[in-house]
Amino acid sequence: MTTSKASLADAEGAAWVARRDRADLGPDEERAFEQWLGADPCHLGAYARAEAVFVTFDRARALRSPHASPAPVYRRRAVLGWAATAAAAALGGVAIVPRLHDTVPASPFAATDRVAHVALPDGSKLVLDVGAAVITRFARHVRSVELVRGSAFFEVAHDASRPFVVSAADVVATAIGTSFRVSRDDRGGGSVMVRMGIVAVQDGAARLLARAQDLVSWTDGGRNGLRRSRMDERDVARQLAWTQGMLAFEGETLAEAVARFARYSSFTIRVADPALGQRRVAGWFSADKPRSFAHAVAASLDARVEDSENGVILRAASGKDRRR
Amino acid sequence: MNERLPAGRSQWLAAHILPHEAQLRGWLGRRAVAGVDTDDIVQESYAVLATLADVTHVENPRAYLFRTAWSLVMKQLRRAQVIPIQSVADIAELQVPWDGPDPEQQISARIELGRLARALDDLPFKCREVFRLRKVDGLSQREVAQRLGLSESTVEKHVARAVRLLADELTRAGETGSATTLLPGLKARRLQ
Repeated sequence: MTTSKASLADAEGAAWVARRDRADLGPDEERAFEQWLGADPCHLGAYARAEAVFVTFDRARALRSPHASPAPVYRRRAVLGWAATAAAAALGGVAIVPRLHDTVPASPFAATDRVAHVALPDGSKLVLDVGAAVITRFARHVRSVELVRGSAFFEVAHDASRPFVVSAADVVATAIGTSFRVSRDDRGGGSVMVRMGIVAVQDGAARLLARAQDLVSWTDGGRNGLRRSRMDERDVARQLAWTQGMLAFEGETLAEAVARFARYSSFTIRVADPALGQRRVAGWFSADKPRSFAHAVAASLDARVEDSENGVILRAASGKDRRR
Repeated sequence: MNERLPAGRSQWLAAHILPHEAQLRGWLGRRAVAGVDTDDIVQESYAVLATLADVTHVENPRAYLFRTAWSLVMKQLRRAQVIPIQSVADIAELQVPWDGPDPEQQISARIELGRLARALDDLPFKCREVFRLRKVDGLSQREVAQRLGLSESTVEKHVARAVRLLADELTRAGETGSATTLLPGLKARRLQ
């Protein structure tokens, strides 16, 4: 770090960010700001950088609990405590800050080819859908889970002094004791669906409280805001069927249903007839029993099941070829 | 308010550029070249990125940042005529593989919440209290002033100081290495 022109520009940039955060500039200040920006091309850079730092800390609001009124003192202590423990973790064994006692080990979990159930140390339950990955960091004052990709369902053990915080990119869901699912796709979209209790969903300055049967969704990393919609109980149960090893269909096409099964097992169901693939299916099926599903479909859609090398083939039954 | 940056630009810088600044500093530092100051290059890079009309075409912000910074280094070298143009061409060939973001960064470029918390914790006491109320609790500067019994201008100064300190904390160059390892030819030429 130099005590150079650059360093001075950084300090001035930070001062302008703070000034503009306080209130709009008056005409004289506007002129002074313009003049400062025009004096050196580096000044705009220093200012933009300071803005970026300031904006980065919008995410620090995630450290609040969902029921907190603005800034009660005990909440701030909780945040401080968590910050301290997180700091200890970040520092690893390199430096020791005297007031820190415990460290926060990061535990990664991923579900590669089947739904994974994880019992977390606080008594909460975590169910990972196929393809999902999370990193958990449990500190004394906060239980933090980062959803790296995919879909995960949480049954949070109640602990008011230790919020349960799930982050999916820039969107953060905070709960105390509740059950909810968080999903993200690889295009910056995602959703939080609440089964029980209340979850605070936050993205930068936008903040929504989601109750049971609420679905909060976003696209494009949350830049277009958060949307909340209502679901009925059946929909919620259907959406969470996978957490119990089930697949639930309610009028999906057979082709879609078969694609869903393919995610959960290497057993292949091939639909030989395109028209058959467009027929609708309904019902709950075990994700790990694709063969039973194929037979159930055959029975209700008037098709037949043929064994193939690595699974079965479904064909429309016709005329005298028709079998059971 | 008369905005100096295009809408959403500071959020974009925060999400896609700031997380890579420490690495950029480390990288520039290892390429220490007489007359080229890392801090200046970083600031100029931000100035360039802040004034781009549109950033939606930037698919790999990290690579874009490194390329921008490197082109600014080249520009300075040419201007300062520290080394003959011919050597500049040589240097241009010694590029690091900046197009391949390492896997860790592909998963998540953003600065971790824990890292932010630690940076907050390292602030001086008063500064920390003010910045926390402003950012964690979301009070306005005026409300912070009322709550803490401070004048608004004092609060503003604490916020400015916090931004300055947090910027240093979040962007401190990770590694320092020998300037000669990756640019073996450069030093010799400069001495000629």
